[in-house]
Amino acid sequence: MRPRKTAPYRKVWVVSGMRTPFVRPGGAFSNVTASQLGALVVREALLAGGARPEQVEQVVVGSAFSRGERTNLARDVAMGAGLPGEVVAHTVCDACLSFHRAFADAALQIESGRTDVAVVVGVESVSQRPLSLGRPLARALADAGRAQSLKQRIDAFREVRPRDLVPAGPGWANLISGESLGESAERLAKDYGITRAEQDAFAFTSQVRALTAIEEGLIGDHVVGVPIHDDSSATVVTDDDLVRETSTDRLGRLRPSFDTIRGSVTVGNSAPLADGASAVLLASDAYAKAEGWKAQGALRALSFRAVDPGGQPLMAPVPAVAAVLDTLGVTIDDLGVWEMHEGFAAGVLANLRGLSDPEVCRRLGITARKRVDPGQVNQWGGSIAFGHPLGASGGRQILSLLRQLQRAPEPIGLLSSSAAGGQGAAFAFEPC
Amino acid sequence: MMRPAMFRLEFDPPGARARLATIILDDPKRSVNALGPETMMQVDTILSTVRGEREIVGAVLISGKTDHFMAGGDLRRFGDITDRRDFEVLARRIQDLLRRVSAMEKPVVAAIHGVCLGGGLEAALACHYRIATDHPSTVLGFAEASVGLIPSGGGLARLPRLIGLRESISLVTEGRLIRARRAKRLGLVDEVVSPEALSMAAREAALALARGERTTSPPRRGLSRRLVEDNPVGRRVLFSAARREVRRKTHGLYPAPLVALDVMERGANKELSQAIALEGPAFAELAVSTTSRNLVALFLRRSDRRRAAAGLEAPGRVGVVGGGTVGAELAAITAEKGMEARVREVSEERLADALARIKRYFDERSRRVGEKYVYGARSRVSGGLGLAGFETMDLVIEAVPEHLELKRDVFEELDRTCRPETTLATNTSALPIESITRQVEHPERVVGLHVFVPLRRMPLVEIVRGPQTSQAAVDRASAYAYALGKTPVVVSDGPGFYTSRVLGFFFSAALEMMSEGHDIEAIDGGARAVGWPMGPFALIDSVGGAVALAVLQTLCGAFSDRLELNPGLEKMVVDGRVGRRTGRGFYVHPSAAREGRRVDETVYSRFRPSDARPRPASDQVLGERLTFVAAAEAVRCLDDGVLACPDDGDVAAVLGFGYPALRGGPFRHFDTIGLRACVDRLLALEDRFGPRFRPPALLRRLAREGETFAGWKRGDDAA
Repeated sequence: MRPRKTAPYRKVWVVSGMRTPFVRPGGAFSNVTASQLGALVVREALLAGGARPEQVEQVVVGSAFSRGERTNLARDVAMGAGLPGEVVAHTVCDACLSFHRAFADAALQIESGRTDVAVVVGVESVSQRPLSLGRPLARALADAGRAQSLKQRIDAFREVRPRDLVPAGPGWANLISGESLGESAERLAKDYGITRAEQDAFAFTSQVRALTAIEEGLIGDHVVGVPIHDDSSATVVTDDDLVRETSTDRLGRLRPSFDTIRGSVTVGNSAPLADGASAVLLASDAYAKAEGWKAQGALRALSFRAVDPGGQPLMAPVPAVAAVLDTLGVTIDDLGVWEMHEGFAAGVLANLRGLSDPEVCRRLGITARKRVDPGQVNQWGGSIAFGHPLGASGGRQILSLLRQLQRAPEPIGLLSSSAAGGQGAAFAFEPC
Repeated sequence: MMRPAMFRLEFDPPGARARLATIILDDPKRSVNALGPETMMQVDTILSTVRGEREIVGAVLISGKTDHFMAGGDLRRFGDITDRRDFEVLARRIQDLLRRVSAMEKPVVAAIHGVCLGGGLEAALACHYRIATDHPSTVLGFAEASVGLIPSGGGLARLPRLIGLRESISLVTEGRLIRARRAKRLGLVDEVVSPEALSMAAREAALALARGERTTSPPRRGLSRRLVEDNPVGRRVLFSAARREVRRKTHGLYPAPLVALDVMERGANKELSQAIALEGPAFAELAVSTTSRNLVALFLRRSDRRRAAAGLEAPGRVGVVGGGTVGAELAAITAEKGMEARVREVSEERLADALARIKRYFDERSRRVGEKYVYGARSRVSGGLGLAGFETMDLVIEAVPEHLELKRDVFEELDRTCRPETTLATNTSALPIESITRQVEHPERVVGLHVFVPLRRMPLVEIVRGPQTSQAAVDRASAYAYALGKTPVVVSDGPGFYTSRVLGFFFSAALEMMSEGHDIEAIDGGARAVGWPMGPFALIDSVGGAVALAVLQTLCGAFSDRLELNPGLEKMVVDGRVGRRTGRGFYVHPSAAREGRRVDETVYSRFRPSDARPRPASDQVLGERLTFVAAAEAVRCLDDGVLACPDDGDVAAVLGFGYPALRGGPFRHFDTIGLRACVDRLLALEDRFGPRFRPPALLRRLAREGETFAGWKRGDDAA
């Protein structure tokens, strides 16, 4: 253990970061495990930052459900990345905020002086998401495992019916409201009067911006190719394959997914699931300076907030954003770059509307802010275009935000995200 | 003066119901446990103590070293012994000692972890029970043949009685090393356990044997063994087949395996003690032979070079630029040896291929030693399209194709990217370091690191010191070679350095012989007949025609007085006939290995007129001509200062390009022939075949002064 500097509060620098391409589930990464994806981005983030593996003290991995395959996915990721056995690793889960939670965990350790160097990872393999057995079958297997005789073993399966043999995926429905987040978005759109046309226009802009950013080479330098081997061939996958050319016409022809009669939320104006991983290397400013590391940006503030999932769960980012602005004592005008997670176009549009609506803000217990033009957020495209590998999306947002801050320095860049269950997060960064 | 004890003896504390003795092999002064005269006396004392303690019911023999059980006799002391009879006495003493072990009425259990070779295995065989660990570092075998010797501590007698003749023959004559699981299947060890359980399992076994609850495993006696090995006719068939196989492989040049077969055959129907007694005289006869002396000398010089590099600081992170066959394998082995490796390639396709090669390497290793010993290595190697992170590397190795401009570009880029402490190495096989680093700002950190393919098998790394290369860079490269498990030999810069330069002359002579009318098979056969492991044409096909051509082009530019480019080879390369890689070179290489290669008759038209009459010449004559051209050029390398000393030249020649090992290397070979005789022979060859056979000035001078290479010192020739 190296001696600790005891400064009570230190700045957290994002030294480097890398992500894999975000890829359609069942596509190029079908046979790549979540830990392989995670290990790859950890190693690449370290190389990009000029850090040596033995300098890392901690790895925190966020994952919505890929952690389900292992008891501590982070340990697999750290070992797979060739980090020394002494590096501590743990896994956190907070649905679509899993990356943000992992980031906050590491950042707080650095701020308080407990750690100097940490790697934050978000990883999701939707292709290999764990499937669970139905209760009757699971119970029967457990009983059979304890059985002392063949008869007991056979008896254990007596209650199992054919339909019990079908495995189930992770549950999307909220336990309190009984609805999925898509259904919440549908309800939100109606509540805030957000039209189908508005949502489609927003989605179209996201796609166009993502394509433009890719073509201009703004994205490529923080995306690392993933080598894929099978028996006959070897390739390196480098493209975000969900980003596509589309048109408002084409988007307008899609059938609503959740309310087929009056609905407005479609697969076109919400984020498609994806496989992918992202990682950032964090260090205390003191340590990074001593090592001669450069910073992509520094953390200024962060906030997590939650709202009643039975109300409008997708509105949770609004109080989180307000909290960050208040912490820093800044206004909307001070925000140069704004990255919002686009789970649903309806969600983003409602968040922006709500933030300037006195009535909504009163209900959320915050003060209303100036109106924000949706055209200001996500200048390089968002989750609707790139896809949404739940736990890994936060990494993409941060990398995109910091690159934008570096290209056109603004005092503050803000990032916000919503998650299933009515939780939201907001982070503020400054350029270095 | 008595050396500190190599053995420690520990007894279980009194009061325990059944007490065991633990004999720990651990020479505190040396990294290797080896049997010498004093250590043998210690064993003697220990055995009597164990026998004398009435309460002690058995003993466990275990090594205190982490990587080996025990090595055999101390080869370093062999040089001092010149009399055949002294070797016989030495063998008899070891035999007596081990006989006392096996005759002990209390059970002795060998607990084996790590390398267990030669004398170490003989000691284990003398024990009553053997347990080995399943760790990949645990290997068992008899490697005596590699130094021209045979096991002489009763191994040739005990091994067949335990595992049968057929398997014994293969272990002894091929010098094959086997892992614990295979040893268990053969009946060579009784149990295989994890390293953690070794001590416990050995104690259990010793106690159980002492109580009579367990018996020593009976030898395996399968049906075939009873049918073939237990009758004189069957044995005769077995041994004559084995002799044929040995002769085919060694061309009768290496007597040790044949002597081993002879001793095993004569001992097969004798009492154990009589069979053991046959080993001493046979061993002594071999030990004083020139062949064995040459091989032992080579072995010692090789370990000297490894030992010199062992203390140097090895790099922890290694960058490899270029992920072709060499680059990818280099990265994989680097990671396997505990270092971190990063490959840079220039396109996605090439990167994917490089990573696929690395994956195949590890998949293969995984099948061999188990994934748990490979997983860590897999995680230490990665690839990318840029030089990200290369600034933090300790060593960066360039392994791009052999084009000067390309290499220069790579070094300019690396020089800009990497911090000054990073050592940069080029894996060129012939281009002078100085020519590559001309535009580099820090040439002092650039060193040549010439590895040989196939990397996993070739034991040499030729380290090239350029005119400006710093000692730190040379040390870093040597330490890396050592960490890879290879032997580093440091040479000075120059076209082709040492190995490629000599090899170029060797190839060139072979091409010339073909143009004269000799056939490819005759020339390759001639080379093998005098001890080259591979003929020149088979070797060109193996390293690749394009590589051989590039080397020859470099050499012909530099040594135009005695070397000219044979246009035939260029035509071959232009036609894509570059050898094994494309399936066609001087030989046709069928993709199915078992079909075997055959000479491609259409090659000849590129090298000689169709009416060229093959001159009859014996294998020996053809082989000698190739050997002499190589040795003469090696002498010039010493004269030019490319080689620091003849020993370096001998080691690098045998390990790097297959100079007949039984000769101990070109310099020792010339010393053996006599330098005056060599000069005469070379003059005769020069008369017939031209200036590349001209006796080198240094050789003439030493011959004139009645000196030898063994007595050569650098200061001498300044005069």
